[in-house]
Amino acid sequence: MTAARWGEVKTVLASLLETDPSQRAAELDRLCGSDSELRSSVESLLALEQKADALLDSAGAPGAAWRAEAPAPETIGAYRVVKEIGRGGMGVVYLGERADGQYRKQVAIKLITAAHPDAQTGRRFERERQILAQLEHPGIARLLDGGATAGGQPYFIMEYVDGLPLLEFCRRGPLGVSERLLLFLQIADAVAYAHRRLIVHRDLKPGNILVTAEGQAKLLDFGLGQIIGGQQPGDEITQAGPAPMTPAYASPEQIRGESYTVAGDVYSLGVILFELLAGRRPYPATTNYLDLARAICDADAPPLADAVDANAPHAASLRRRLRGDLETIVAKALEKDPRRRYPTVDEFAADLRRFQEGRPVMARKPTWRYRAARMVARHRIAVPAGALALLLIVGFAAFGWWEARRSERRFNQVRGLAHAVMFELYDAIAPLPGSTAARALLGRRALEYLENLSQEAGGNRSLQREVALGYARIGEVEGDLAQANLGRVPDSLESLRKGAGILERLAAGSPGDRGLRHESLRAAIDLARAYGQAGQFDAEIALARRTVASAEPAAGAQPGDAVATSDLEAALAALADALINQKRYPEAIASRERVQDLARRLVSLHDSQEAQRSLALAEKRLAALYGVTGRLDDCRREYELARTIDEQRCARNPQDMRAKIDLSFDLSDLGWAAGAMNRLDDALEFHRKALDLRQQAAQADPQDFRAAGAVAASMRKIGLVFKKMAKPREALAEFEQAVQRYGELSRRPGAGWATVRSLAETRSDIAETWTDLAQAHATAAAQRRADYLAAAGEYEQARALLAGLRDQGKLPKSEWPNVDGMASLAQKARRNAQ
Amino acid sequence: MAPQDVAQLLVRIGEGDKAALDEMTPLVYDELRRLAQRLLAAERPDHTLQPTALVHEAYLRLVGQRSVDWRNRAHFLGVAATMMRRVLINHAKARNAAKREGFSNAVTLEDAFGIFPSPAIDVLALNYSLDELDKLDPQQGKVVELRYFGGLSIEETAECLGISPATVKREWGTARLWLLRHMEGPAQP
Repeated sequence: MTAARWGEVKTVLASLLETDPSQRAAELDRLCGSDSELRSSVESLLALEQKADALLDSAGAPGAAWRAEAPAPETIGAYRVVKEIGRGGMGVVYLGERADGQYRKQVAIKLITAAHPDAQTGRRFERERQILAQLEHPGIARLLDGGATAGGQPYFIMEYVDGLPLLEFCRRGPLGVSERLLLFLQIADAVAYAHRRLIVHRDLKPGNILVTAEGQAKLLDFGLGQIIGGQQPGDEITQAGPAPMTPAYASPEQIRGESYTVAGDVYSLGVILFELLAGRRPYPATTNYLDLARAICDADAPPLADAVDANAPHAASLRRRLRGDLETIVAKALEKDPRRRYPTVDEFAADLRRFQEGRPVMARKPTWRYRAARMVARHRIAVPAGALALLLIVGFAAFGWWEARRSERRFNQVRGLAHAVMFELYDAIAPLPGSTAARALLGRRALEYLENLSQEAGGNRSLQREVALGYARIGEVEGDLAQANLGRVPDSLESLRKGAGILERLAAGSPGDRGLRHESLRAAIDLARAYGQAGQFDAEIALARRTVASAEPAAGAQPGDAVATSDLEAALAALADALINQKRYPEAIASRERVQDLARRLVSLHDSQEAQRSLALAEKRLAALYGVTGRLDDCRREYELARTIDEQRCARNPQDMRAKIDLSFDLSDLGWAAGAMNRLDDALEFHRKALDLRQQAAQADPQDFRAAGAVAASMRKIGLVFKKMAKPREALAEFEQAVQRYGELSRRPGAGWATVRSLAETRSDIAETWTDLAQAHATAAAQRRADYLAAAGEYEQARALLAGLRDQGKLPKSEWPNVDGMASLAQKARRNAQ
Repeated sequence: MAPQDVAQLLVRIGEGDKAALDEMTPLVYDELRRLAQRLLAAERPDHTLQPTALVHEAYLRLVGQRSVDWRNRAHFLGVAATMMRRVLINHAKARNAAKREGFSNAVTLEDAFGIFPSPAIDVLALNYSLDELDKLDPQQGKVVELRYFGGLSIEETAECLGISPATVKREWGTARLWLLRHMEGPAQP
């Protein structure tokens, strides 16, 4: 059946299902007309109606079992539950009455399900309940009682307010500006009353305000945010998350997760007043939280009058009414900087009363100077990073270097400060969580100053060198950022390119400067690797070749120079990696054989742990290349050499996790070689030893990406050995574990394309295993079909992962055919399932 | 992953971003599995978790309490439905395998949920037919997934898919019939 035909059948069918059975025959005639095929399709489906009720009933569906809500309790505390009247993030609200019938007063019962019932929560609720019970104000729905259910869930008994939500009440009136202001003042007075008792609301919004038929505004949920958030000073640390908020009414500081004060309620009241008067909120309605957060933190609210919809009735006169003092008052409440808002709700309300009485208001239009300052500061506010870093950035602006005069003294001061920022502070704040963005910003700023100075100073070489090193560092940090935000990749490459370019020019200008040559080569190597990470493989190979050529002369002329030797080694290693990325193995082997020679030379020049490790690495990398090109004996020999070195390192220092990981790689690769030589029991043994070491390392440092990735890789490899042993069940179990780990890793910040590729490869392994199983179940048709379908599903997932990488330009071209390969395997499996 | 990231994922899912759904699914699955394991390990014997409570707790842990937006909850339930479908299918396959090979897994997540489909329905066959319906009519396929595997109400399904409750009702009513016929009969033209 085609989709179009099903659409027709569906329309008729739906209409008949809604028709009384006695009328259906006539309706069927009318709807199908002469289309007998349509008619027979509909009839055959309609005949299944009762059976569908029995078999595919939504109430009997598996979903219903796990969604089944606990039925509403009959009583809560001393109250009988009448019905559910609301449901939100915190819990359920019921309408209730006194169970003992003492007096028939209706109450709202708020059952909090958003907290984990335990003793600590219980104590906190009890304390808060006592505080809230003090709030007695006509504008605040009273807290009557509270407690905990037998199951430990806290509940509040609140005054039941029979009213309309604020905005709806105003619309129905409809209320004019003066009436709306009077209503708003009721609300403001209630909030001010609570503030005097040191209770802030935290979640003020029109939906939390009901207006009774008598025109009394009542605030609901006062202080509940505080209870849920549990963030009062002196409170123990609780496992409850941050307090609830409604982004559309939240202040910039609340969005940024800073501490909540009275100023936050002032701001939220400002938004409410804005909406009451202009008919919409200051910032565009969007479901994208980030956009909204950005607008709240960065964008200026439009003037109140401009926000009025031009098509609204009496728009012109409303705008005239709002222009001027009201606009200024609202703008003051909505200031980004809490210190520039009304310090208290009372003062906010007092200014509104002055306006109503026609007296001069206290709020002033912001001066142009203030606006200009905010323009400058705006870009910095958006980055919630280490407070220290922010302080420094703002400090820069205050320092006013930009206008620094060109005198010698100034020059040195600026240079010294920029240098300190770039090379000392920068490192100092690096360990702060979330400081990457701040470092990038800080570095950029310092770099601007350095570059400016460098231009002023003409050909000052040491200054240029500082600028170049600055670019290299910025490029590195931007590279980190790029992992989270691919838009930053070009920034990072551009910075690295600039830095490497300057250093290359400087080094060419003074061939005798060994330090400069070293810095220049290293910057070039970093840039080449960054090209590779960005998926620009041709650029990577070209630059690596050029760098090898630049490093050759010095290393050849001074074989005893460890720095020159290791620079050449690093350049050759980068070249080999670039070639490996493109699967150009024979060329890579040539580079790697040279790397190994140089590593031996370095050990002989200066024997150290680090040099030993490099040598072991060099042997391993070479071994791997022998392995993939089928030279298995060479491969095993090199790995055994590496294993010997790494075992010695582990024995010398059992706490050295890096040595353990290194050894695990030796073992894992020996396992691969054994597998390739068809010695499967040996292979399993090697891989299990490797997995054990890796798990030790991963447990020692859960943040260690490499260790965690290695655990997943080992699991996959064990799976592959099982598969080869024709033990598909064991293989699947290992693969599934690997998939889970890779999936988790690929979502970590800093995960690269290779993790996603590993995930895709493992999925494809799973698919192959299902195919094996399907073939093994030649007799059980239904099972075979299910196995093939499972295989198809896995191939499809693998294809989607690889296609995603390809579309982002991250998959090496040589692997592009795998995308279609996966698709055709999936199709084949689906065909086999038929 | 931080709650606000999850909340953003949910918002993106709400905007129809399929990549966000792919990202979210394993999170939900892992979280549920983790909670179920903890439940089974009787780490907190005093804490009786009902399946619903489990899902609710997973939601709170993943999304945090900052997001009280009901729409987010609808999208979360949508993701959970997709996940439950996979859980059930895996479970059915594992059960078949167990029958075949005579071994039984230790307690699974599926057991912890206590979700077993009606024995009258072969869930693998249903899944197969649902895949076919997905191809024919993706929106209708989604409605079935949410209603049948996710246990979403008509209103929740409507919220999740951004369509009217009346449409959901029609889609569900007709889809059931189509599925039954597809599972039972010879393939229709």
